[in-house]
Amino acid sequence: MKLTKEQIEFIDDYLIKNKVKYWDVRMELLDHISNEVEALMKVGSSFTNAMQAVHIKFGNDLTIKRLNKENTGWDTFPSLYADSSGYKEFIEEKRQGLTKGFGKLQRKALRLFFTNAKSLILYACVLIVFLYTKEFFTVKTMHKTLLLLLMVMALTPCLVSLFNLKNTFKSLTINTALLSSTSGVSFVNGLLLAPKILLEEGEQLSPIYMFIVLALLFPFFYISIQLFVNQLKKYKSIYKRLV
Amino acid sequence: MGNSKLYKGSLNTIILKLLEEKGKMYGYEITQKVKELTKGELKITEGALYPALHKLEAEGLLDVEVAKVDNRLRKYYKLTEAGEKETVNRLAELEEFIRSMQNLVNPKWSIE
Repeated sequence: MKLTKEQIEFIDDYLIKNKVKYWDVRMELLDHISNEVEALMKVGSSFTNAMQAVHIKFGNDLTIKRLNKENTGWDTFPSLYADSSGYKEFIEEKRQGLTKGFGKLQRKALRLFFTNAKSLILYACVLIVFLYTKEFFTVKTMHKTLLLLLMVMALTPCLVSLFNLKNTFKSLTINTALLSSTSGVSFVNGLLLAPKILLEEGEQLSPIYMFIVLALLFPFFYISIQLFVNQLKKYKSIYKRLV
Repeated sequence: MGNSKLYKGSLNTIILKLLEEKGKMYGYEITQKVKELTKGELKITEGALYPALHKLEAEGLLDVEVAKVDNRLRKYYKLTEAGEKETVNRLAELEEFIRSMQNLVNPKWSIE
């Protein structure tokens, strides 16, 4: 038995009220719940009973307790909005799955970076330009420029997401991809800013150290930007179908 | 998930294998197919299936496709090229594991 448009809208509204705020999670849950409800209705269950069964199946509580009129005890009655802890846990597990997946993809992409001719040429160019500028600029200027370059690279996914606010922050996948791809900001801080505390006044980080930092971080930031933009593109096209 | 912890480590391989056979599938369809193939012995819960699907998708092993079905959008999963290669590797690993377990548990009945 197929659900009507109104029943599907009811399930969508039910998910929103149960704090499933990410559109990508809601889209998939809506289809899954609709399938479950249709299967239960096929064997004789009513829409309401089927919804209650699915609500419980996802680990949510169905019972609301209210003090009775005489204030002597509790009245209990079922409500689809009594508790949404099951969906909260579901979203958290999905987030963990995505974080692990993106981590693995980043490591794989990093390995590919060093086997791809185009990336290697770009990498070599960046390193050569850095070595070349060493002759013309002071160490302080080099430090500032390197800091700026790496910060911009590390924060590029954030800048891109600012132009795609609706897709980014309301999608669990894009949200998690953004967090994974900007995790390198702490490396810039740890490798270029924190060591300055250890230096004497007027002392600067050595150009060789800066070269090593650039050589280490550039590939990571480069692939992070690429991976984030790819995910954003993919989910933007799905979002377009939704609205 | 399932009635046994033994299945838990093989969930990703089960998903990959099903997608290799069927081409593309959606979440609910996977749960029903597994239930049907194992005669109800293995029931994959949503809490186990979707994180696994999204991990595989994020890893680049699965691609997604969205289609409008019965007044709602349905997300289909299918193997990427990398996913196809990974399926072959994981199935070989699983077969090797089954063979080793067979040898350990019941040497007389081993496959070889």
